[in-house]
Amino acid sequence: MDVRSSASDAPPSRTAAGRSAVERLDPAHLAALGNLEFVARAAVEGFLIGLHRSPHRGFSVEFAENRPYVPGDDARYMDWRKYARSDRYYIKQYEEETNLRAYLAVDISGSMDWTSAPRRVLTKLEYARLLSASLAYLLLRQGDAAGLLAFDDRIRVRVHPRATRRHLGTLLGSLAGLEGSGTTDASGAVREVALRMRRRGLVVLISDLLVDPDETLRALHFLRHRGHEVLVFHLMDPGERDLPQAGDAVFFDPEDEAELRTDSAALRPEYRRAVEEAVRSWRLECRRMGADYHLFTTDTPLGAVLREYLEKRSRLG
Amino acid sequence: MSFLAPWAFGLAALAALPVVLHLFRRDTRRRLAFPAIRYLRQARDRSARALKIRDRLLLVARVGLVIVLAVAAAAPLAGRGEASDHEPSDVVLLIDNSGSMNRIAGDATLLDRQRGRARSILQHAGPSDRFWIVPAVGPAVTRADAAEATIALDQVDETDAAADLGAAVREAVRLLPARDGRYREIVLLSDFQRSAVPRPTFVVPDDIGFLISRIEAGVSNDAVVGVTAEPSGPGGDGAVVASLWTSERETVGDTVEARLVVDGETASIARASRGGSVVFRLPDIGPGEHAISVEIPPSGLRADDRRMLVLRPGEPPAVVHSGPVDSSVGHALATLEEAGRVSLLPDPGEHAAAVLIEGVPATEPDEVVAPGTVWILVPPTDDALLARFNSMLGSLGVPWRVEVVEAPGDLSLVSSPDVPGLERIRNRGHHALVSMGASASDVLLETTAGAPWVVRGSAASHPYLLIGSPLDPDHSTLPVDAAMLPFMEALLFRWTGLGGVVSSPVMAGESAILPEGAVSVASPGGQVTRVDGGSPYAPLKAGVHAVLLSAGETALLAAVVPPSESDLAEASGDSFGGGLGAPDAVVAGTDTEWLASIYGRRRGARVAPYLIALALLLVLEEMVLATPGESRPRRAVAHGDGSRQ
Repeated sequence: MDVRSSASDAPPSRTAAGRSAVERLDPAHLAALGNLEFVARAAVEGFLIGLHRSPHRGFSVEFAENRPYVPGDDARYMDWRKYARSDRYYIKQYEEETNLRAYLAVDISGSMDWTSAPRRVLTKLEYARLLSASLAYLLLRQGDAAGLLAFDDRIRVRVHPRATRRHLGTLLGSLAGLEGSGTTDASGAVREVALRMRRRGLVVLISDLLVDPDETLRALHFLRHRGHEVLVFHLMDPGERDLPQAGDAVFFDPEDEAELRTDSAALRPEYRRAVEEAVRSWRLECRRMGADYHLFTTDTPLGAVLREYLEKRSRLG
Repeated sequence: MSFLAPWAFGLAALAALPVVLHLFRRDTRRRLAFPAIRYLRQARDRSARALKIRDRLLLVARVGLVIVLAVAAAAPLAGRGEASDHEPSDVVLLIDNSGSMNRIAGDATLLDRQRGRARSILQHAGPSDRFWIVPAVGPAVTRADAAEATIALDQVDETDAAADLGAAVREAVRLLPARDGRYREIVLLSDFQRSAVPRPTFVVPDDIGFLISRIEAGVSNDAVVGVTAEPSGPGGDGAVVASLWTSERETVGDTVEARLVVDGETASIARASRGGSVVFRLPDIGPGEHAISVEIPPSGLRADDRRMLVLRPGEPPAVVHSGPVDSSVGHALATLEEAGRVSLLPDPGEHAAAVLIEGVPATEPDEVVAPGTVWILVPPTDDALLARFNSMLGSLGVPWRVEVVEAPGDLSLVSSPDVPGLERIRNRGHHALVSMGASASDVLLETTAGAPWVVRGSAASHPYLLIGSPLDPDHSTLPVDAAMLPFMEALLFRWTGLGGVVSSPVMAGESAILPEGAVSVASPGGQVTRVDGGSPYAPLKAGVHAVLLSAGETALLAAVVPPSESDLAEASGDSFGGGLGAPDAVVAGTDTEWLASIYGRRRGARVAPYLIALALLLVLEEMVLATPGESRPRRAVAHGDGSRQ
């Protein structure tokens, strides 16, 4: 038995009461903890504890080793012989199988390096970094192979998927070095992932989707056509959702410096409609091609995002 | 349109402020990074036209708001304002409180309704207004504020007097102070009585507004316009004659019920022709003063439906008969003495009320009688003594002579209400009375030929009565007729006035001299006024006023409605104003016209409240435009965690 079956046998609790404090923790507070690995571990471990299911190694038919029992472990896997000998609780662990290769495609364009509330809300890039680290930790923890692709108008960082524990440090190191700049060409990055992944795998696209939608959707469709699973995390700053209360102002795009003079108060209702239409379009197109689409604002606790990932993972079998 | 504070228009310059602020803010707007500018651009492209319209409307609303507030601060006045919106004014309220104003008009008297209109003027008064209350009858109240004038207005007396409106208008003009920047106005509240329109002898100055309140109250009226009483002897029995009047000429000949009331009790009832006259037989009412009135059913004006007088029957007069004792006159006097109607004295002394001289006395009559004694002179039966008789008349100062004239036959007498049956009498003699400069009005009885037969007058200090022929059967059928005694009573009581005293009533509003010793007067309504004896007193209400004398006795004073007040016919507005010297007077008939006419110098209605309301609407518009779509429900954006924001 492995983690996939356990995830499907016992779906995580959906009630608010079942969520841990870490799961509800403001990502800005979480990021303030500093070390990326520590943050990722805290986020994932705390989230999984909240699921009341052991986060640790899966259980296949081939025994691998014992480990000390921790609260939340399934009592069926208790090694009673070991207990008889040592008077201590141990859990039997089995050799797990890794058949999922996941690419985390992270948008690091200039638009991602922006927040509407600098000391209260993370930039989209900071949030993406935190989210990617947590996903990488979770993937590797579950024995899946995790890779990284950071892109703006071209690919800036590429880390091939691996399932080893040491690989986590490589990924986190790459994530820590990401800086936002330039324009965005998500389609190119996605196409390159499609070409590089020979086995079917999972591609997690983390972006604000301020891209050319047609090209990007076409690339995602190509990815799906190659048999890969696609999970799109659409990140949006709360200010991008509602439009800042700026009154009369000149707004400019940090990527290409394009300007627009207007009164934000007067345009707010129409702006919201435009955002809603864009989100609706992304969701619809993704659904058509069989990709999962999720919109998150950067003040959303990470647990919510991880939960979406786990659901996707459980469906992959 | 005018403005109370035109300087406030300077505030309108602030209207440029929104424009300047708009331009200023365009130059200094902030520059903000915003990655999702594509959505912002889409939103702007979709709502560019609406935004442009909105911006224009916002600018118009803000500029308009400043302008509207500036205009409102200037306190504009438009058109002709309400009654309370007027210049400081000096107003004379001239109240016609004459008797005709007591007619019933609707549910109140005309005076009370006009008083209500005058009150509406005071209710719309401003703090700077000044008022004078001038009743047409009675003293004026000078320079009062609205509250004081209201009290004075309520205290204006109802009267039954006639009013001299011309004099009242002149008094109103005299009371008004010089213009001194204040609007001046005379307000007349009257009934437009035609009989009260004076001749235009005075012109109201042009700078004085003249407003007349007219309330239609033309009602028909019946009145008792005259009452006379002639007691025929001691006790008061005699005749009361009342003259009636009606405003409805076509009903003359119809009858009304008339009552004779003595001391408050009905003594007699008769049917009388409307507009005609009625005669009552006055019963024996005994000595003392009596209030006699004739009353008809209530009509338009109540006060003139009764008319009264005061009657004091006389004591049996002391009479001296100078002539043959066995004459017809002597026998008649003896009969009257037996009946207690006269008291015969043997000699003419100071106590004789009358001396009846039949023929020529042995001594000169004026040497032995007191002044005031009435001479009753009967020519001698012997024509030879006529010369001496005429000589006596001359010495007494009587301007008549008795002469013998040629006549073809007997002379008949004209009938008289004073002596029933007189028309039967035939005079056989050929005597005639010849005037020596006497007045024709002195004739009491005359023959059918038009010759005087009984005349009355006053000579020196004595009244006299002169008969035109001897009173013996050879010269007249009177001594042997049933009319002899009535003739003698008329001679002794009615024509001499010895049968009693009738106090002539005084017209309400006119002065009568009070008796010496008068202390106070009680009006018919019970109001007691302290007076001085011998001073003039003008009763304002019709009725019997009781004059209390210092000796504890009471004298009665009858006051009646002037006949002119009974005619309630109304004059036209033009003739009424013209007669009062104000041909351009504004006449307000209905209550609506009245409220639209009072305070002739109005400043216009205040527009500021409407401008403030407009400003509030502009503020509302500004709020709606400045926050577009905020009132619409936000459509939620679905999030990956299942929550919605």
